[in-house]
Amino acid sequence: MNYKATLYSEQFTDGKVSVELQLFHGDLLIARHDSGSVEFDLKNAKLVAGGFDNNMLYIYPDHNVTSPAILVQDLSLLKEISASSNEIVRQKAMQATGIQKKKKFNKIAGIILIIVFFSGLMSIAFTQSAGIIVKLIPVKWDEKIGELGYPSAIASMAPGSTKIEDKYVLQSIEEIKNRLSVSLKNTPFKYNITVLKSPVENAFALPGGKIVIFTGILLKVDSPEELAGILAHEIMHVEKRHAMKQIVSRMGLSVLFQVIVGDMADAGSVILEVGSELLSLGYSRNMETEADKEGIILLSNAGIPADGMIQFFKKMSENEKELKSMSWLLTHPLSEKRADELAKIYKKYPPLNVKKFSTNWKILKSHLK
Amino acid sequence: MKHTIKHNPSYALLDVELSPGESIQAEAGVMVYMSDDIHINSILGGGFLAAVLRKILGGESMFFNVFTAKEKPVNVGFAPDLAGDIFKLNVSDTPVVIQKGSYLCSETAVSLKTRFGGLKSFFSSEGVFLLEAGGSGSLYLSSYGGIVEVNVDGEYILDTGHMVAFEKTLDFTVSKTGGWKSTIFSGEGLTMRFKGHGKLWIQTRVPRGFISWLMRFLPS
Repeated sequence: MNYKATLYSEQFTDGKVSVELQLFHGDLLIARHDSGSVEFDLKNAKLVAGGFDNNMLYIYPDHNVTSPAILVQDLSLLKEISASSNEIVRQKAMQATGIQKKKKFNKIAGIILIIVFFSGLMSIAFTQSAGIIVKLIPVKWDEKIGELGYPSAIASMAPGSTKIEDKYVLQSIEEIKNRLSVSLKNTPFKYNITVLKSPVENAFALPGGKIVIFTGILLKVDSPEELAGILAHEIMHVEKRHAMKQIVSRMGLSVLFQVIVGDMADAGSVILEVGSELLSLGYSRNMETEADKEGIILLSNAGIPADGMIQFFKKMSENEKELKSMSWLLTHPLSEKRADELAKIYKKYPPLNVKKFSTNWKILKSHLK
Repeated sequence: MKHTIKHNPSYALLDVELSPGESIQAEAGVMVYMSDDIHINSILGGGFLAAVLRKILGGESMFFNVFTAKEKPVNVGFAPDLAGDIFKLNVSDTPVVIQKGSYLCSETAVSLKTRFGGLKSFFSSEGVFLLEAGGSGSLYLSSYGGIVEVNVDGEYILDTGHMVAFEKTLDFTVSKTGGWKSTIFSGEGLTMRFKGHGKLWIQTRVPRGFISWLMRFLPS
């Protein structure tokens, strides 16, 4: 078989000439050009994979990598050499193939590293600036994302769960909610609570103010104050727009992309579309701490003792088995440090004008069964 | 298509004379002057995604401008941002890989694609993206300072930042100058080690050298 190649040698005016290559007996390479030919004995030759894309083969007559040299772009020559009957030649071909593969691998690894590096930089940049960006997003979008996210959140946590319509339960929870929301000054959000019948021991808030409580967690709670603590924490996630910040920081790139392409309306629709899926990602540690602190301040303003909430945490963490089954605690991990911090904040913000709730929790529980 | 390079090597300006129907494509923003009878069309450089990546990561323009003469011969002038030389290169069999800032303009028969330079390109301070010119035709590159053509025969070592373009038959790795001591104290830092055979074009000055000289005079 003939291969097109380039012969580099000082004897030519341009330093190189086009040649036709042919392999004889598996170890003798002959390069023919217009004014003669050159022979390379492959037993003494050096084979090197090269070129910017690593898809070329350099052949040198000995260990010296300066000219004369033959450059072949058709790598099927390397395959033909690998089939040589001479052991030394065969090994040289195999080595060159190995180097070529390794270099290709390095290239891919490099690409991945750079992508990781840049996406890391981007995500740091967006986490830092997410708060600023979120301020520019209208509150209406929170509600929209909450609405869009609701069905998928329910479907993933408690499929087929039904709404609780019991008046005593709903009124009791409404009372807690009202006490809390009256204490929220200038909130742009309207809170509405849905209670769903499901063994899932969880409660969560969607951006915009929709709060979902499963009966599973209501059965674990022993007083209205404990539930108020959980709700205060969830409400603060909404008030501080944590979900929106998460969405912005994680989606930063694609939003940026939309802005560059120039269609802001599109950026909005991307946020809405992907945003609802991203709700399940959870909050960062800092966000949890912020919701803890702000939650206790809210309880204090509402005249609800926060030790109910701390008590609930302690009660749950003492029973390790229960801790594992309790999904609200899984997403809100309780360490001793966190409990201490909660207690410290509580000391700083004791409840103002404590008022008891009218609910008898035992009666409420009986209504759930 | 006729061309003249004026005021080189320091403040080079490329003047291109286009016959009716002839076109030339250029990096956005390098046009200095042009005749009235010219049609300009903006195209995405190196494909859509590559153009977006160029914009985001490389800080370059997403577009190339194509200048076409309509009914009579016209002149267009191009110049890069920095002081330096402009040179013409004929692309034929071997594609040429170009450092991002050095591309000025080219005939439309020259195909351009943005390609990932990999980690080595990133560390050699040539940017993550490189431009690859294939096809056949004239390609005009600019340099900071003067331009030197080198025939690499086996191996060649170049300080980072000096690379303008090289033939694709060459490959390079980034390595330290000598031992760690000389890498840190010799002021030479990292170098590019070219391997293979082919042409390499280098610039005699590096923008970062000028910038660090300038920094000394800026109030902090």
